[in-house]
Amino acid sequence: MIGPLIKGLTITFKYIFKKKFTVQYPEERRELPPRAKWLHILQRHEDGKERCVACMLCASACPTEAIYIVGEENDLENPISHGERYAKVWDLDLGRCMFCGYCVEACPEEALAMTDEYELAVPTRKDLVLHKEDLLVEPGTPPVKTWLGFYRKEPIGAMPVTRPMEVHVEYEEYLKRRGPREAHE
Amino acid sequence: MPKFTLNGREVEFKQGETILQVAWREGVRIPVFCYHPHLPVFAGCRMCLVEVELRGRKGLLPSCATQVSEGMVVNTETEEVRKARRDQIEFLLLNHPLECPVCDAGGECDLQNLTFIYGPSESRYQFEKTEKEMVFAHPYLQLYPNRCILCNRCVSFYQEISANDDWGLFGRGHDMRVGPYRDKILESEFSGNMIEVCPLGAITGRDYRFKSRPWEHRVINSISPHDSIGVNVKVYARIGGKYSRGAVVSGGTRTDNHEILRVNMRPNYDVNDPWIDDRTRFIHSFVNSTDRITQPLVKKEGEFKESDWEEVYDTVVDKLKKIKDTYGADAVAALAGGRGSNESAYLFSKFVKEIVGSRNIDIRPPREDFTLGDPVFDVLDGSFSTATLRDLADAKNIVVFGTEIKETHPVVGLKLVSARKRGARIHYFGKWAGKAERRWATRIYIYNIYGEEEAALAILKHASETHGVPIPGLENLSLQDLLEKSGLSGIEEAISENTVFVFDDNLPYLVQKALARASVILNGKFLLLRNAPNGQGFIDMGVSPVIGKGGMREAVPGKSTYEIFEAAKKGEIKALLIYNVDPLTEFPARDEILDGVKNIDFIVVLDSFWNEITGYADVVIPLALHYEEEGSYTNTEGRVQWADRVIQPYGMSKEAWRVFSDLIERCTGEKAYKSVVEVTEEIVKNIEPYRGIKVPPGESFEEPYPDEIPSLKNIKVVYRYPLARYIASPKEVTFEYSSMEKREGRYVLVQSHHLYKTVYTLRSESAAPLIPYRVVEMHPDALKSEGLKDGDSAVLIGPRNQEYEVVVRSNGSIPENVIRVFAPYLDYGLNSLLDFKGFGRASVAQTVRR
Amino acid sequence: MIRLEKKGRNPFIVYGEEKSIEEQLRRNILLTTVDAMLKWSRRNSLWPLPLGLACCAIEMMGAFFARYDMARFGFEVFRFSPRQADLMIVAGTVTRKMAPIVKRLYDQMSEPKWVIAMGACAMAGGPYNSYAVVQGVDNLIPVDVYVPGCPPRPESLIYGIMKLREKIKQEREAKIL
Repeated sequence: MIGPLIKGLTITFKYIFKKKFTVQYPEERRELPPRAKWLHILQRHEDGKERCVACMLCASACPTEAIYIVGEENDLENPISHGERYAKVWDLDLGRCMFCGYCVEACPEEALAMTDEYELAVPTRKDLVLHKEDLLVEPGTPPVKTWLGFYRKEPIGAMPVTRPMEVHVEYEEYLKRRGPREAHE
Repeated sequence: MPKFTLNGREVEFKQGETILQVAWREGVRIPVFCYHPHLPVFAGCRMCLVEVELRGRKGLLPSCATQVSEGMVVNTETEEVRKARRDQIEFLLLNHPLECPVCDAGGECDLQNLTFIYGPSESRYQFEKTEKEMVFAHPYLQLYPNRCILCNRCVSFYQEISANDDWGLFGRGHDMRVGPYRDKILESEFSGNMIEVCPLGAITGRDYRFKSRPWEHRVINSISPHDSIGVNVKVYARIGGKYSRGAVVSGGTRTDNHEILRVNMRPNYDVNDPWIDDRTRFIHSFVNSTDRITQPLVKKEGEFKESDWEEVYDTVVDKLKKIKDTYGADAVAALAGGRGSNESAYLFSKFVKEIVGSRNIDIRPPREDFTLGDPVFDVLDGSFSTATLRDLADAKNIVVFGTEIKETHPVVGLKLVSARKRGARIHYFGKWAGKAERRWATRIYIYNIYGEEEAALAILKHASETHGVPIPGLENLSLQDLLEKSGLSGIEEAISENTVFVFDDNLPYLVQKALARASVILNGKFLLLRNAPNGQGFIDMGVSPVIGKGGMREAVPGKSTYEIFEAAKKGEIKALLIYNVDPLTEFPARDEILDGVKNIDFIVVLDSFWNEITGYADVVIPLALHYEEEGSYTNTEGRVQWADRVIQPYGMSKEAWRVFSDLIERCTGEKAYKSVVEVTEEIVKNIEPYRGIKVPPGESFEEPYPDEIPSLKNIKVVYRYPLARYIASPKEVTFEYSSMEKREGRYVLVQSHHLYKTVYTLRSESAAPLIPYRVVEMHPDALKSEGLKDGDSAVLIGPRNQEYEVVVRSNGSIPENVIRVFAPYLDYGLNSLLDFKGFGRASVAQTVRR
Repeated sequence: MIRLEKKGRNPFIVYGEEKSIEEQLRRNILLTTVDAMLKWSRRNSLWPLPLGLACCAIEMMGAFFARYDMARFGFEVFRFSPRQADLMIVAGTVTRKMAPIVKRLYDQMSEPKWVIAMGACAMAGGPYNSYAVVQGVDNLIPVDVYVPGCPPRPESLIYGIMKLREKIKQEREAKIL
């Protein structure tokens, strides 16, 4: 009878002196993996212009139809984005979004990125719809590195309007590693 | 049938067919860029190269331009062909910027799709792409020469189909580009078709710019509301409703779905082929006009009070009953504007003629000569066109009389251009002729401003003399006299056997009657162009004082519009129903109409927009607009077409047929119609010419164009609609001729039309740069003598010293003593200068002051 | 929404308009301290009714076990009987077939009671834009806090519950009945 008791309590005492397992959540946040897919942000260029050109590829890639975009023509004097068009409305419905990240993959301008911001609780259903103003970063915010370089086969360098930053360096390194390839195999 | 080998199969072909046509028919995919089935072959893109082997020789040939011959061996999928395609696409992409995300054509781009299917995955081109400047040639068009692949489709369309010459290819080699020749707005009224013809996003429409993407669209088949040709269109709206893309946000449905994104063509070989006019394409924002009436209103103590449907119906029914009981049914009159579906017209006429019991119902403008009756009805015992639009293309001799085709029925112009290309002789009779008429007319006859009736009678007289048919009433007139009075000479050439006449229903009674009679005598046909968008349908449904349902003659004719207002002045009309028309701004003789309107006790206005007459109304009923209701529409040749609903009615407005159906229910206790199809079924049962038409009318068939090419997929499904079967029984008619009263004065005010000045365009904010707002046109010499310049603002002074502020434009084609004004007169009250007798076109002395 | 809060948009701090002192006195002259105490006790011992309907329930369990250990906040007592619970966590897809049961469970809970909709399905139907799925549990019962995610992380849920505590604290008067 005593044998099993000791056996059990040994385990208990062993754990008593180990480091605490519990994450003290509000005070201490677990560091998420670099590619964690939580709240979206709309990024800006270095000059403060919006990256989004309202191509609506994210909206069409979205499996739950959570994104709603209305594009409009840029004022030539005072453009909001690079290129001719910008998103007048860019709404994300968190009530539908399942954070799959297809929108980020689809974005040709690297305007969309996902952050590790998971504290998203809101009190009303209206607040679930986030608008462009909510998602846009402040001008001058350093760009968030997306995971696109891992998936994309073709360089985004062909894009005339924008040239995403670090990913390209990574991609060029990848090209170096891969070595030259025939144009048409 | 001869045979050839296609990809190892024996395939039959007809003599003269090209390889491409046979291959598509047999389901073999061949990609193309420059080939368009409705345009001349250009063979410039080299995308359709196939391997052809004939008599021992083998090579790549463009399949769109190569006719099949017996014993040919064609291969479309060899390695060589594939390589040719791949290299061709790589070549096309050399200078094509890869800006698909900002390009409007993204998602419906031929180049995008074909690159995906046939193209290389990488480009070997390492140099800078060429930069060319953007071109703004039209308020609604934008050209990006950078994106252009020089397929020549737009130029083919513009020069061959629309027959204008201010757009073309210029430059050589590297610098070659398409574009306008001059720095002016494009002349053609069909320029918008270049957007759809363009295989990529080089030409895009500014009305649809950046708004949405093709996968967000709900595409609805509809009919153009702008003219009586009934151009078939596809209307694009955002996907709406509760469970659909973009519409769902947490907590409810989006409300901004009441928007038409764009209007594109819908092929119908009987009516419009795959082309539509710019007015139909670009004017659609009127559905969200700030002028829309949103709520039923009842006037109480001189002020409009917001009301509900119950109260409105009760007021209308009570008042009409009271008036009918005290003054008789003849004290009630009704006017319609001819805008609305057949179903609405049917119930409107049923309500007025059967329930109220009044015959005073009309859709024509108030003109003294229209009191004589319906001109075509008097000749044929039926009011309809005997020719169809297709007959125009086949006709050998066409007479276009007095109609500004470009301004009122632009699509007829395309038919005339193609008729001329086939060698038809087209004679244009008009007060003046501009460049638009010279595009298709082989000969132009200009008659005096006051010689319109004489010109028509001269045609009739000549026909009767050559065919030996006497015309009662015209015996005393000689042809020479008539020609002299009209200022014409040598009209003999214009008149021959089987002539097709084209004229509109706003011409004087005598003119319409003479031309209809002449066409009967010549064994020809005539195309009567209705000015009201659904004029033919309204007449068929019995919205006419002389014609009953289905074309029967009314035993006791009612009052025409002119007589209604004359009677109102005398106080004989106590109640007036006005359905979708504003007599104060759309008709001439505003002051006389206003006198009548003020005398009427009870005015019910059913309309979608606020306008002048709504101010005098006692009850205002908001109606849904064309794109907000479904129903059938009869075009001017009698083709019964169907339009589906695109968006929900605005505010509290209701479809017209529903309003009349509710009113009928309240008066008779009959059950109201549940859906519009029930009304259509009743029409098909009760209206003789419509008997046997399928409900809803229309069918479609597919052309064998490949699906992967979006610009061809758009024209793949072709629609067909049935013609109503009218029976003509021509009889001998007498003519009473008295020459038109001439007006003294320095200038003659002539009512005219402008493509972009209609009830709808005036309500479309986006159309603003094209609308001739407050514009009158004068001859340059007349302008010079007045000391004015093109574009100056001036003041017109009427005979009673009324002043009208206008903008003068110079127009070299009109006579020197003419001031051309454009109906409707919403912007300037110039219609108070025109009077009932003036046939809406000639009026009094004017002076122009700076 | 910490990011949004930084932007000056905290949806949780919008509780009603300020009432005049007289009105507040009339309403609550004697029980202010009792109120405060009641609210304090309630928000520190929420007993959840775990309504695990789909995959979100796994994350909810994760939040209650040792790694995230919600017992630290005093709401560890899972009650599977609605009569002993005052917080319903709807975790997962509410199908039409399940809807009457959700409603009945909510009705059986004793007042005062709160509801958290956890995950996209419970909030708004999520990816299931279908006839079979209730498009948001707020079509059935009143929801106090929505926790987005598909599924939300355990931290997200804890954050949601902490927001609920704030909400209870800010309630104008404790519901005594």
